[in-house]
Amino acid sequence: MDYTGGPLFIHVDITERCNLRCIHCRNEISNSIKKELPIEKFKNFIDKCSIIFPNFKQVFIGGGEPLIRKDELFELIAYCTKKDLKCSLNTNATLINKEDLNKLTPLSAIQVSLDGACATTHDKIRGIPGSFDKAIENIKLLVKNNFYVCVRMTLFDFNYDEVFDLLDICKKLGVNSFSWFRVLPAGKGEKIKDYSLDPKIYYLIMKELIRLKYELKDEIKIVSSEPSKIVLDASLRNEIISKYGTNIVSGCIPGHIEFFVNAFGDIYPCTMLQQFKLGNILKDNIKEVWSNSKVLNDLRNRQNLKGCCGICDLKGLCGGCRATAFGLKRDIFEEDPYCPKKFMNRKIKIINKIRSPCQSY
Amino acid sequence: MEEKESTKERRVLENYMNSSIAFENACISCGSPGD
Repeated sequence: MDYTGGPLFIHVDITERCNLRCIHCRNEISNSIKKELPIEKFKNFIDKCSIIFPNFKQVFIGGGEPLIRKDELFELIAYCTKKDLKCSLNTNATLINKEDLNKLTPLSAIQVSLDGACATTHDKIRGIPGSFDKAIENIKLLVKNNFYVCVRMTLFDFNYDEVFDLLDICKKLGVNSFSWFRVLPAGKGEKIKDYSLDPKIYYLIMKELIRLKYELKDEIKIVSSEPSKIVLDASLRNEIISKYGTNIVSGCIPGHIEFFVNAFGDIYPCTMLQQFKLGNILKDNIKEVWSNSKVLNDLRNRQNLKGCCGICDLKGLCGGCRATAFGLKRDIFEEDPYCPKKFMNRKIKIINKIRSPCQSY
Repeated sequence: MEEKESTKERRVLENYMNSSIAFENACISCGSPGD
Protein backbone atom coordinates (compact mmCIF):
# COMPACT_ATOMS: atom_id res chain seq x y z
CA MET A 1 0.00 0.00 0.00
CA ASP A 2 1.09 3.54 -0.68
CA TYR A 3 0.77 5.97 2.22
CA THR A 4 2.55 8.97 0.75
CA GLY A 5 -0.73 10.82 0.22
CA GLY A 6 -1.23 11.05 3.97
CA PRO A 7 -4.30 10.27 6.05
CA LEU A 8 -7.85 10.54 4.77
CA PHE A 9 -8.96 12.09 8.02
CA ILE A 10 -7.51 13.48 11.21
CA HIS A 11 -9.19 13.31 14.58
CA VAL A 12 -8.58 16.43 16.67
CA ASP A 13 -9.54 16.77 20.33
CA ILE A 14 -9.74 20.48 21.00
CA THR A 15 -10.15 19.96 24.74
CA GLU A 16 -9.97 17.26 27.38
CA ARG A 17 -12.33 19.19 29.63
CA CYS A 18 -15.87 17.90 29.94
CA ASN A 19 -19.09 18.65 31.76
CA LEU A 20 -19.84 14.91 32.13
CA ARG A 21 -17.92 12.24 34.04
CA CYS A 22 -18.15 9.12 31.89
CA ILE A 23 -16.86 5.95 33.49
CA HIS A 24 -15.09 4.89 30.31
CA CYS A 25 -13.65 8.19 29.05
CA ARG A 26 -10.51 7.71 27.00
CA ASN A 27 -9.08 10.84 28.57
CA GLU A 28 -8.31 9.95 32.13
CA ILE A 29 -8.22 13.46 33.51
CA SER A 30 -11.22 15.64 32.97
CA ASN A 31 -10.82 19.39 33.47
CA SER A 32 -7.09 18.98 32.96
CA ILE A 33 -4.92 21.85 34.13
CA LYS A 34 -2.52 21.32 31.22
CA LYS A 35 -2.64 24.18 28.76
CA GLU A 36 -4.71 23.40 25.70
CA LEU A 37 -3.44 24.72 22.39
CA PRO A 38 -4.99 27.95 21.16
CA ILE A 39 -7.36 27.27 18.26
CA GLU A 40 -5.02 29.23 15.99
CA LYS A 41 -2.45 26.43 16.36
CA PHE A 42 -5.01 23.83 15.29
CA LYS A 43 -5.91 26.00 12.32
CA ASN A 44 -2.23 26.22 11.31
CA PHE A 45 -1.95 22.47 11.66
CA ILE A 46 -5.03 21.84 9.49
CA ASP A 47 -3.64 24.28 6.97
CA LYS A 48 -0.30 22.48 6.86
CA CYS A 49 -1.95 19.06 6.53
CA SER A 50 -4.15 20.20 3.67
CA ILE A 51 -1.00 21.25 1.80
CA ILE A 52 1.23 18.24 2.51
CA PHE A 53 -1.38 15.49 2.41
CA PRO A 54 -3.34 15.27 -0.88
CA ASN A 55 -5.55 12.52 0.57
CA PHE A 56 -6.64 14.60 3.59
CA LYS A 57 -10.38 15.27 3.35
CA GLN A 58 -12.03 15.29 6.73
CA VAL A 59 -11.58 16.47 10.30
CA PHE A 60 -13.28 14.83 13.26
CA ILE A 61 -13.50 17.19 16.18
CA GLY A 62 -13.82 15.62 19.60
CA GLY A 63 -12.78 15.91 23.20
CA GLY A 64 -13.56 16.05 26.15
CA GLU A 65 -16.65 17.94 25.20
CA PRO A 66 -15.74 20.25 22.29
CA LEU A 67 -18.61 22.65 23.07
CA ILE A 68 -16.75 23.59 26.29
CA ARG A 69 -14.66 25.74 23.89
CA LYS A 70 -17.72 26.84 21.97
CA ASP A 71 -16.51 29.96 20.18
CA GLU A 72 -13.20 28.38 19.28
CA LEU A 73 -14.99 25.26 18.06
CA PHE A 74 -17.13 27.39 15.75
CA GLU A 75 -13.99 29.12 14.50
CA LEU A 76 -12.35 25.77 13.70
CA ILE A 77 -15.47 24.44 11.94
CA ALA A 78 -15.62 27.57 9.79
CA TYR A 79 -11.92 27.29 9.01
CA CYS A 80 -12.11 23.63 7.95
CA THR A 81 -15.08 24.45 5.73
CA LYS A 82 -13.14 27.32 4.16
CA LYS A 83 -10.39 24.82 3.40
CA ASP A 84 -12.93 22.54 1.66
CA LEU A 85 -12.53 19.89 4.34
CA LYS A 86 -15.48 17.98 5.66
CA CYS A 87 -15.90 18.34 9.35
CA SER A 88 -17.78 16.20 11.91
CA LEU A 89 -18.31 16.68 15.61
CA ASN A 90 -18.41 14.18 18.46
CA THR A 91 -20.42 15.53 21.35
CA ASN A 92 -22.50 14.54 24.35
CA ALA A 93 -25.10 17.05 23.03
CA THR A 94 -25.81 18.55 26.44
CA LEU A 95 -24.33 21.99 25.76
CA ILE A 96 -25.96 22.77 22.42
CA ASN A 97 -28.35 25.75 22.31
CA LYS A 98 -30.68 27.02 19.61
CA GLU A 99 -28.33 29.97 19.14
CA ASP A 100 -25.46 27.61 18.20
CA LEU A 101 -27.19 25.98 15.26
CA ASN A 102 -26.08 28.46 12.61
CA LYS A 103 -22.45 28.00 13.54
CA LEU A 104 -22.81 24.24 13.44
CA THR A 105 -24.44 24.21 10.00
CA PRO A 106 -21.25 23.44 8.04
CA LEU A 107 -20.80 20.13 9.86
CA SER A 108 -21.30 17.05 7.72
CA ALA A 109 -22.36 15.07 10.79
CA ILE A 110 -22.88 15.39 14.52
CA GLN A 111 -22.24 12.23 16.48
CA VAL A 112 -23.99 12.07 19.83
CA SER A 113 -23.12 9.51 22.48
CA LEU A 114 -26.08 7.71 24.05
CA ASP A 115 -25.24 4.68 26.14
CA GLY A 116 -28.66 3.47 27.14
CA ALA A 117 -32.31 3.53 26.16
CA CYS A 118 -33.27 5.32 29.38
CA ALA A 119 -31.94 8.00 31.68
CA THR A 120 -31.10 5.53 34.46
CA THR A 121 -28.54 3.65 32.37
CA HIS A 122 -27.16 6.54 30.33
CA ASP A 123 -26.75 8.86 33.32
CA LYS A 124 -25.08 6.11 35.34
CA ILE A 125 -22.47 5.73 32.61
CA ARG A 126 -22.15 9.45 31.93
CA GLY A 127 -21.90 10.30 35.62
CA ILE A 128 -24.25 13.30 35.62
CA PRO A 129 -28.03 13.14 36.20
CA GLY A 130 -30.10 14.77 33.48
CA SER A 131 -27.58 14.14 30.70
CA PHE A 132 -29.87 11.66 28.89
CA ASP A 133 -32.87 14.00 28.84
CA LYS A 134 -30.75 16.93 27.70
CA ALA A 135 -29.13 14.87 24.95
CA ILE A 136 -32.53 13.65 23.70
CA GLU A 137 -33.88 17.22 23.73
CA ASN A 138 -30.93 18.41 21.66
CA ILE A 139 -31.07 15.47 19.27
CA LYS A 140 -34.67 16.51 18.56
CA LEU A 141 -33.48 20.08 17.99
CA LEU A 142 -30.73 18.94 15.61
CA VAL A 143 -33.01 16.60 13.66
CA LYS A 144 -35.65 19.33 13.39
CA ASN A 145 -33.02 21.61 11.93
CA ASN A 146 -31.87 19.04 9.38
CA PHE A 147 -28.48 18.19 10.81
CA TYR A 148 -27.08 14.78 10.01
CA VAL A 149 -27.21 13.09 13.42
CA CYS A 150 -25.54 9.86 14.36
CA VAL A 151 -26.16 8.26 17.75
CA ARG A 152 -23.32 6.14 19.02
CA MET A 153 -23.71 3.58 21.77
CA THR A 154 -20.85 2.05 23.74
CA LEU A 155 -21.69 -1.48 24.84
CA PHE A 156 -20.94 -2.69 28.36
CA ASP A 157 -22.01 -5.88 30.12
CA PHE A 158 -24.77 -3.96 31.89
CA ASN A 159 -26.28 -1.92 29.05
CA TYR A 160 -26.12 -4.24 26.02
CA ASP A 161 -29.72 -5.35 26.57
CA GLU A 162 -30.85 -1.82 25.70
CA VAL A 163 -29.19 -1.66 22.29
CA PHE A 164 -32.28 -2.52 20.24
CA ASP A 165 -34.53 -0.26 22.31
CA LEU A 166 -32.09 2.56 21.71
CA LEU A 167 -32.13 1.77 18.01
CA ASP A 168 -35.95 2.02 18.11
CA ILE A 169 -35.73 5.36 19.90
CA CYS A 170 -33.30 6.63 17.27
CA LYS A 171 -35.68 5.62 14.49
CA LYS A 172 -38.54 7.43 16.22
CA LEU A 173 -36.41 10.52 16.71
CA GLY A 174 -35.50 10.58 13.02
CA VAL A 175 -31.80 10.15 13.67
CA ASN A 176 -29.85 9.47 10.47
CA SER A 177 -27.49 6.79 11.67
CA PHE A 178 -26.87 4.50 14.61
CA SER A 179 -23.39 3.40 15.51
CA TRP A 180 -22.09 0.97 18.08
CA PHE A 181 -18.81 -0.13 19.60
CA ARG A 182 -17.72 -2.04 22.67
CA VAL A 183 -16.09 -0.37 25.66
CA LEU A 184 -12.34 -0.37 25.12
CA PRO A 185 -9.65 -0.97 27.73
CA ALA A 186 -8.12 2.48 27.18
CA GLY A 187 -8.05 5.58 29.39
CA LYS A 188 -10.55 5.17 32.22
CA GLY A 189 -11.85 2.11 30.36
CA GLU A 190 -8.74 0.25 31.54
CA LYS A 191 -9.99 0.46 35.10
CA ILE A 192 -13.41 -0.98 34.38
CA LYS A 193 -12.47 -4.12 32.49
CA ASP A 194 -14.97 -6.00 34.66
CA TYR A 195 -17.75 -4.20 32.79
CA SER A 196 -16.51 -5.43 29.42
CA LEU A 197 -18.96 -7.34 27.33
CA ASP A 198 -18.63 -11.10 26.91
CA PRO A 199 -17.27 -11.63 23.35
CA LYS A 200 -19.99 -14.23 22.68
CA ILE A 201 -22.78 -11.82 23.59
CA TYR A 202 -21.06 -9.13 21.55
CA TYR A 203 -20.97 -11.49 18.58
CA LEU A 204 -24.72 -12.12 18.83
CA ILE A 205 -25.50 -8.42 19.07
CA MET A 206 -23.22 -7.58 16.19
CA LYS A 207 -24.76 -10.27 14.02
CA GLU A 208 -28.25 -8.96 14.72
CA LEU A 209 -27.24 -5.34 14.11
CA ILE A 210 -25.71 -6.28 10.76
CA ARG A 211 -28.91 -8.11 9.83
CA LEU A 212 -30.89 -5.00 10.82
CA LYS A 213 -28.51 -2.78 8.84
CA TYR A 214 -30.01 -4.20 5.65
CA GLU A 215 -33.56 -4.69 6.93
CA LEU A 216 -33.80 -1.08 8.15
CA LYS A 217 -31.73 0.56 5.43
CA ASP A 218 -34.58 2.84 4.37
CA GLU A 219 -35.26 3.99 7.92
CA ILE A 220 -31.86 4.40 9.56
CA LYS A 221 -28.25 3.77 8.59
CA ILE A 222 -26.54 1.30 10.92
CA VAL A 223 -22.77 1.73 11.03
CA SER A 224 -19.96 0.86 13.40
CA SER A 225 -16.41 1.55 14.42
CA GLU A 226 -15.97 -2.19 14.92
CA PRO A 227 -13.16 -3.44 12.64
CA SER A 228 -14.41 -7.05 12.78
CA LYS A 229 -17.87 -6.18 11.42
CA ILE A 230 -16.44 -7.04 7.99
CA VAL A 231 -16.21 -10.67 9.12
CA LEU A 232 -19.99 -10.82 9.59
CA ASP A 233 -21.03 -8.33 6.94
CA ALA A 234 -20.63 -10.37 3.75
CA SER A 235 -22.21 -7.73 1.50
CA LEU A 236 -19.80 -5.03 2.63
CA ARG A 237 -16.88 -7.43 2.33
CA ASN A 238 -17.84 -8.58 -1.16
CA GLU A 239 -18.38 -5.01 -2.34
CA ILE A 240 -14.91 -3.94 -1.22
CA ILE A 241 -13.20 -7.01 -2.66
CA SER A 242 -15.04 -6.85 -5.99
CA LYS A 243 -14.33 -3.15 -6.47
CA TYR A 244 -10.85 -2.78 -4.99
CA GLY A 245 -9.35 -6.25 -4.65
CA THR A 246 -7.87 -7.90 -1.61
CA ASN A 247 -4.88 -5.62 -1.07
CA ILE A 248 -6.90 -2.82 0.51
CA VAL A 249 -6.09 -2.39 4.19
CA SER A 250 -8.97 -1.16 6.31
CA GLY A 251 -10.88 -1.95 9.50
CA CYS A 252 -8.48 -0.81 12.21
CA ILE A 253 -6.98 2.12 10.38
CA PRO A 254 -4.54 4.15 12.52
CA GLY A 255 -1.53 4.77 10.30
CA HIS A 256 -3.50 3.73 7.23
CA ILE A 257 -6.01 6.54 6.79
CA GLU A 258 -6.10 8.19 10.22
CA PHE A 259 -4.15 9.71 13.04
CA PHE A 260 -5.10 11.62 16.15
CA VAL A 261 -4.03 14.90 17.74
CA ASN A 262 -4.94 15.70 21.34
CA ALA A 263 -5.74 19.07 22.91
CA PHE A 264 -2.07 19.73 23.60
CA GLY A 265 -0.93 19.00 20.05
CA ASP A 266 0.47 15.56 20.77
CA ILE A 267 0.14 13.10 17.89
CA TYR A 268 -0.98 9.49 18.39
CA PRO A 269 -2.01 6.64 16.04
CA CYS A 270 -5.63 6.88 17.24
CA THR A 271 -7.74 8.19 20.08
CA MET A 272 -7.47 4.90 21.94
CA LEU A 273 -3.72 4.40 21.60
CA GLN A 274 -2.49 7.28 23.71
CA GLN A 275 0.40 5.24 25.08
CA PHE A 276 2.16 5.73 21.74
CA LYS A 277 3.10 9.37 21.35
CA LEU A 278 4.44 9.98 17.85
CA GLY A 279 5.30 13.65 18.10
CA ASN A 280 3.78 17.10 18.55
CA ILE A 281 2.25 19.35 15.93
CA LEU A 282 4.24 22.38 17.15
CA LYS A 283 7.61 20.68 17.37
CA ASP A 284 7.73 17.96 14.76
CA ASN A 285 7.56 17.66 11.01
CA ILE A 286 4.09 16.18 10.49
CA LYS A 287 4.87 14.55 7.17
CA GLU A 288 7.91 12.90 8.69
CA VAL A 289 5.85 11.66 11.64
CA TRP A 290 3.27 10.18 9.26
CA SER A 291 5.83 8.57 6.95
CA ASN A 292 8.62 7.51 9.31
CA SER A 293 7.04 6.71 12.65
CA LYS A 294 8.00 3.16 13.60
CA VAL A 295 4.65 2.54 15.32
CA LEU A 296 2.67 3.66 12.27
CA ASN A 297 4.86 1.67 9.91
CA ASP A 298 4.49 -1.40 12.12
CA LEU A 299 0.72 -0.92 12.24
CA ARG A 300 0.67 -0.70 8.45
CA ASN A 301 2.19 -4.13 8.18
CA ARG A 302 -0.53 -6.63 9.02
CA GLN A 303 2.06 -9.41 8.87
CA ASN A 304 2.95 -8.25 12.38
CA LEU A 305 -0.38 -9.43 13.76
CA LYS A 306 -0.37 -12.40 16.11
CA GLY A 307 -2.76 -15.11 17.24
CA CYS A 308 -6.08 -15.45 15.42
CA CYS A 309 -5.58 -12.00 13.84
CA GLY A 310 -2.22 -13.12 12.44
CA ILE A 311 -3.57 -16.18 10.66
CA CYS A 312 -6.86 -14.62 9.53
CA ASP A 313 -7.60 -14.42 5.80
CA LEU A 314 -9.40 -11.11 6.48
CA LYS A 315 -6.54 -9.44 8.35
CA GLY A 316 -6.23 -6.84 5.57
CA LEU A 317 -9.86 -5.77 5.79
CA CYS A 318 -10.21 -6.09 9.58
CA GLY A 319 -6.98 -6.22 11.56
CA GLY A 320 -8.81 -6.41 14.90
CA CYS A 321 -8.80 -3.48 17.31
CA ARG A 322 -5.19 -2.73 18.17
CA ALA A 323 -6.20 -0.66 21.20
CA THR A 324 -8.06 -3.67 22.63
CA ALA A 325 -5.01 -5.87 22.05
CA PHE A 326 -2.75 -3.38 23.78
CA GLY A 327 -5.18 -2.68 26.62
CA LEU A 328 -5.63 -6.36 27.43
CA LYS A 329 -2.27 -7.88 26.54
CA ARG A 330 0.17 -4.96 26.47
CA ASP A 331 1.08 -5.99 22.92
CA ILE A 332 -0.27 -3.88 20.08
CA PHE A 333 -0.08 -6.86 17.68
CA GLU A 334 -1.78 -9.47 19.81
CA GLU A 335 -5.10 -10.95 18.72
CA ASP A 336 -8.34 -9.11 19.39
CA PRO A 337 -10.40 -11.39 21.67
CA TYR A 338 -13.61 -9.96 20.21
CA CYS A 339 -13.06 -11.68 16.85
CA PRO A 340 -16.45 -13.10 15.85
CA LYS A 341 -14.92 -15.92 13.80
CA LYS A 342 -14.52 -18.24 16.75
CA PHE A 343 -18.29 -18.21 17.30
CA MET A 344 -19.44 -18.41 13.71
CA ASN A 345 -19.56 -22.16 13.28
CA ARG A 346 -20.84 -22.89 16.75
CA LYS A 347 -24.41 -23.41 17.75
CA ILE A 348 -25.36 -20.31 19.67
CA LYS A 349 -28.92 -19.28 20.31
CA ILE A 350 -29.66 -16.33 18.09
CA ILE A 351 -31.33 -13.41 19.75
CA ASN A 352 -34.33 -11.99 17.97
CA LYS A 353 -34.71 -9.02 20.19
CA ILE A 354 -33.23 -8.27 23.54
CA ARG A 355 -35.68 -6.23 25.56
CA SER A 356 -34.54 -3.90 28.26
CA PRO A 357 -36.39 -2.67 31.32
CA CYS A 358 -36.50 0.81 29.79
CA GLN A 359 -39.92 0.31 28.22
CA SER A 360 -41.33 3.42 29.78
CA TYR A 361 -39.55 5.78 27.38
CA MET B 1 1.93 0.38 -22.34
CA GLU B 2 0.98 -1.61 -19.27
CA GLU B 3 0.50 0.38 -16.10
CA LYS B 4 3.30 -0.03 -13.55
CA GLU B 5 2.28 -2.20 -10.59
CA SER B 6 3.03 0.58 -8.07
CA THR B 7 1.04 3.15 -10.07
CA LYS B 8 -1.86 0.75 -10.33
CA GLU B 9 -1.76 0.09 -6.58
CA ARG B 10 -1.73 3.81 -5.85
CA ARG B 11 -4.66 4.39 -8.19
CA VAL B 12 -6.72 1.63 -6.57
CA LEU B 13 -5.92 3.02 -3.12
CA GLU B 14 -6.87 6.54 -4.24
CA ASN B 15 -10.16 5.27 -5.62
CA TYR B 16 -10.83 3.41 -2.41
CA MET B 17 -10.03 6.41 -0.25
CA ASN B 18 -12.38 8.54 -2.30
CA SER B 19 -15.21 6.10 -1.76
CA SER B 20 -17.84 6.08 0.95
CA ILE B 21 -17.06 2.44 1.60
CA ALA B 22 -13.60 3.38 2.92
CA PHE B 23 -15.36 5.20 5.75
CA GLU B 24 -17.90 2.49 6.24
CA ASN B 25 -15.20 -0.07 6.87
CA ALA B 26 -12.99 2.18 8.95
CA CYS B 27 -12.90 2.06 12.71
CA ILE B 28 -14.69 5.36 12.81
CA SER B 29 -18.18 5.86 11.67
CA CYS B 30 -20.92 8.32 11.89
CA GLY B 31 -22.31 7.22 8.55
CA SER B 32 -22.58 10.77 7.32
CA PRO B 33 -22.82 11.65 3.65
CA GLY B 34 -19.31 13.04 4.10
CA ASP B 35 -18.08 9.56 4.93
